[in-house]
Amino acid sequence: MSRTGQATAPAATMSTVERPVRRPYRGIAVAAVGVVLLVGLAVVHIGQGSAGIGLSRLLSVLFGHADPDALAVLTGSRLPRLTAGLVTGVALGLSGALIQGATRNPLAAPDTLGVNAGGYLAVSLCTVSGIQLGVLPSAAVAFAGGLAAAGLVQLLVSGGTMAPGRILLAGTAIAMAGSSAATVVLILNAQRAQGLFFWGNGSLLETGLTRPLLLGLVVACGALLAPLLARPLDLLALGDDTAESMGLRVGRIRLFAFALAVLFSAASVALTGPIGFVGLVAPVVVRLFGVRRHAALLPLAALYGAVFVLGADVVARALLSASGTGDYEIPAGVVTALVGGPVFVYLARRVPTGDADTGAAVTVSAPASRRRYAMVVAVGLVVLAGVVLVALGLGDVHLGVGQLVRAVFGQADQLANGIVAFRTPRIVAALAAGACLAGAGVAIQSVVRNPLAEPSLLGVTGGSSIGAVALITLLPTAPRWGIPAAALVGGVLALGLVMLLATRTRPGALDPTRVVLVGIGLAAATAALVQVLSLRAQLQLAAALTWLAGSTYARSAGDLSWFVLPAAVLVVLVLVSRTLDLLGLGDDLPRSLGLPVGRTRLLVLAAGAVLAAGTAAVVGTVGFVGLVAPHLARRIVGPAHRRLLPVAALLGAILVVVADALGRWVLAPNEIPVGIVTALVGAPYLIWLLRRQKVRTDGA
Amino acid sequence: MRKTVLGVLVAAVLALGACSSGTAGDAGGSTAGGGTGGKVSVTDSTGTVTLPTTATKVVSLEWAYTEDLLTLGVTPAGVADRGTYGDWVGAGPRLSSSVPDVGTRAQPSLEKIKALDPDLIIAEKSRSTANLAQLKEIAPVLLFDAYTPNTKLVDTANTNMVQIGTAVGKQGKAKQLVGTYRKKVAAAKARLAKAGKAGTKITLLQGFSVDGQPNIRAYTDHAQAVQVLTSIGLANAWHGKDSDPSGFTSTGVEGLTPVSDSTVLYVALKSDNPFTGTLAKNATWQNLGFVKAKKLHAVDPATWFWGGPASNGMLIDQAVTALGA
Repeated sequence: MSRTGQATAPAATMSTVERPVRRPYRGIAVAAVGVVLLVGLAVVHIGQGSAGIGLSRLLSVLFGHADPDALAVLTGSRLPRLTAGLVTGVALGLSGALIQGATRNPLAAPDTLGVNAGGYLAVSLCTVSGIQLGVLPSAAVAFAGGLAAAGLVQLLVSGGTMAPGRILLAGTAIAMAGSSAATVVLILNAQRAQGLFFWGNGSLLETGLTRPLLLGLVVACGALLAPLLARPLDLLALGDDTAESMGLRVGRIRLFAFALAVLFSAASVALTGPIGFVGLVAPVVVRLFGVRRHAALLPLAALYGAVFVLGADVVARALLSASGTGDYEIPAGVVTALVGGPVFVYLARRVPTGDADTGAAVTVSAPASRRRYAMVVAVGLVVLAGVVLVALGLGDVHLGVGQLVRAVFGQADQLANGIVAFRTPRIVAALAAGACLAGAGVAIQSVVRNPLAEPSLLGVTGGSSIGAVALITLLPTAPRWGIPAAALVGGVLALGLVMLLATRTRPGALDPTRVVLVGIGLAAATAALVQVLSLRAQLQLAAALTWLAGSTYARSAGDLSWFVLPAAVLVVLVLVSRTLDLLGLGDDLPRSLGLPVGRTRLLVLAAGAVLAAGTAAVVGTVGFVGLVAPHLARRIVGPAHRRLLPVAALLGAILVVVADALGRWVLAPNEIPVGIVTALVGAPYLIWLLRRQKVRTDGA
Repeated sequence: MRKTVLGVLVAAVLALGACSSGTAGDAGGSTAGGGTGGKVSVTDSTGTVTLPTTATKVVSLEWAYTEDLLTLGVTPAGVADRGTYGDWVGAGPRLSSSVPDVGTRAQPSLEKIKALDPDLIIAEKSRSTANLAQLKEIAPVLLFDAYTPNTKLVDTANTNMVQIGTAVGKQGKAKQLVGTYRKKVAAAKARLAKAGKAGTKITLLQGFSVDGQPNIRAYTDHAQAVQVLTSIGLANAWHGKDSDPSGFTSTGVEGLTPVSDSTVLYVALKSDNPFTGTLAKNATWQNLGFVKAKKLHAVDPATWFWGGPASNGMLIDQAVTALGA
């Protein structure tokens, strides 16, 4: 949070930067609309519930009629739920407004910066380890976790320029690492972790007023401090330099704003679990209405946060009762994500990323000599062979080297032969998945010209899961091979959609960071959609979800045939590597050399999508390989694709084979899905990569 | 619809298994009777499975079948989810910690099972869509189906016990255990009728906390435990829809108002009992008929609702005691 660093950050990052104009009537009008909406929603909200006690009976209680049933439902269920919604909405709205004001970034929010995830991870760790916390201690734990996450993101921001897009990538990486860590913990405690599938989607289910009121008090205390920040945040909106020159201690203000925002987020997480996108959407909506000054923006963001949360809960319950399943619980967080994802995409289309001009953010390094390249490939092959051999030996049953060698030739005892027969297709699947994902990363990155463009960050895997789940729920009689086929189609379509949405004006002008941001928004929306679809048809979904969890469990030789198409695509990419090199040169030069740039980009992207989705079809979601492997390869052999592609594929194969072996071995006989292992390795790598890039930009 | 897709999936898996392995597990089902030349024919959800001889080394991948084996006096060669079995399945003999654990019920370790070199694997249909072909490469598989929603689950559990008994050469003992269970049902039914409790409307609940908030499961007619209770002459008051194929609706405290006038049996862990904890202070809960009339009875938390005759018998004993018959 250094002042000098932030000073060079692009000043015109968002519309708040427009000079604050006094428009008192507008603020009042927005407030009036908000209050009317909130009251209306609250009335509908309190009338909803599985007891079948509607508004009229509740009203008659208010007028003094004795109706013990209605009174009991009102105080024991309706009011607690309403209060929880209000408190959480207000807290998230305030948190988002503070973070957006402090970072001048309309996409920043407690969830997109990983603050909610950090807080919830901390609370979950306590729960799973059997520590029963009271309300306030659990808020304190969430506060600590949120601070840790915010601190990590700030560590990346500090001391240098950080374009808004980059901050969000850091936040997303931290959130992904957090959820992967939580998944491992949950796998270790399966019987305790009843709601595994809904991790990260808060619910308003509440049985008493004590918790919401206590945490409401915390939020109220924080809210009393918020006005102190109104004017400083207005000044901050003018840019750090201007604010400093007007006597503002920028670093201190920013720290204060963040601390307060984390407090709000922690109160909300402790009460309801993380409810996504409220902190993002509420302040943005208020600002869209033209309210810019923080004295009005902060309370209005709180108001609209509450409107959003209550609205989501009302819609969720109305949908459930319309489908005749009124006594189910659907997490309100699912609905907010469903709405918030597209809003995030909309904003991502508008926010300046700071990468539009510099485009070629791909790491540049000197091309390696031919001898060095040959050596790299040789070493890579030897390492891969070694890793495969170790992976064959590792697992539940340890196989010695001699046994292994004999088993490979089918000469060992029946047990060793059998175990090698189980492990071989899994290792081949991991190897092929790694190579294909690395190839997908290289292909997509050559078009987007961004080393961060990773298939799972671009919504490909989200599209795959939607494809599979939609097929299973809408066409339940489809044959089993339909699942990977639908995953493949869904992934390709999702990437197409992301590219379409990320292209703002002229076709082909792809801003690297924007593509990733749009992908993140789409991924959030698809994840929520999968959960909505899964409320029906849970039995069939179990099959699809194991499929998509990112695991090589029980894969057999038959499943491997799905790799034929991606492997062919990978070979073709190596053959046309010169074209990929040309794409890296920007728009004009390749065109003047006679390359149909638009069509080529589309074809290469389609190839990347086939590689990524084809892999997802066999082993499910395996993240970060398409990011780590190409990046490492670029550092070793330089940017020429003829060398880059094979080396990246080798590294990807090594990475996934190792991750798969670890996942099989560490907790044996239980397994950690390979996708979780790669995420645990990959997320820190992404953070490190972001930090390195930042340092380089500073140095330049 | 649900059954169709599962059927198709299983058929596909089976076809795959048949192509790639062609092991004993798939032997034709026409030669019923069995027993000749040491061969044993057993019926599972897929048809007839012929074993070359009675099984001695059995791996069980579902708790219900682990329970059946233990009740028959057979120590399994390996079981899935051994660590938590004892916490949830209180009926029948205890599972020794010397029995090898083969991983989770959802994803048992194929390698571990292979290493145990079993001569029979007992698995649950809905959990084995992915690994069935490979399980069959290891040993013949008995595939039972206790989770596809239907109303004959108690009969299925009894039949499965007899089939498992046949497979391990203890058919007589298995039949005797099922017979004892049927007598228990008849006796309980008579006692309840005598006490004037026949037709009592009951609701079966399970409670646990997520993030400090109580989650309630109300069991539907598709739950085996409910079918056990109706078999002794009680009536299920809960008419919610299944939110899970194993036969329960996930609901909140408000959702219980329609069954306010029924008698409630519930299970909850001692360490996490929302019915005596968070809910006890809740106004909606306090106003429910069964709470006010004290028609709320705890069932031993180790009563497994998806078990075999032993678990079902344990539930009957507790229901009869709770109703004071």
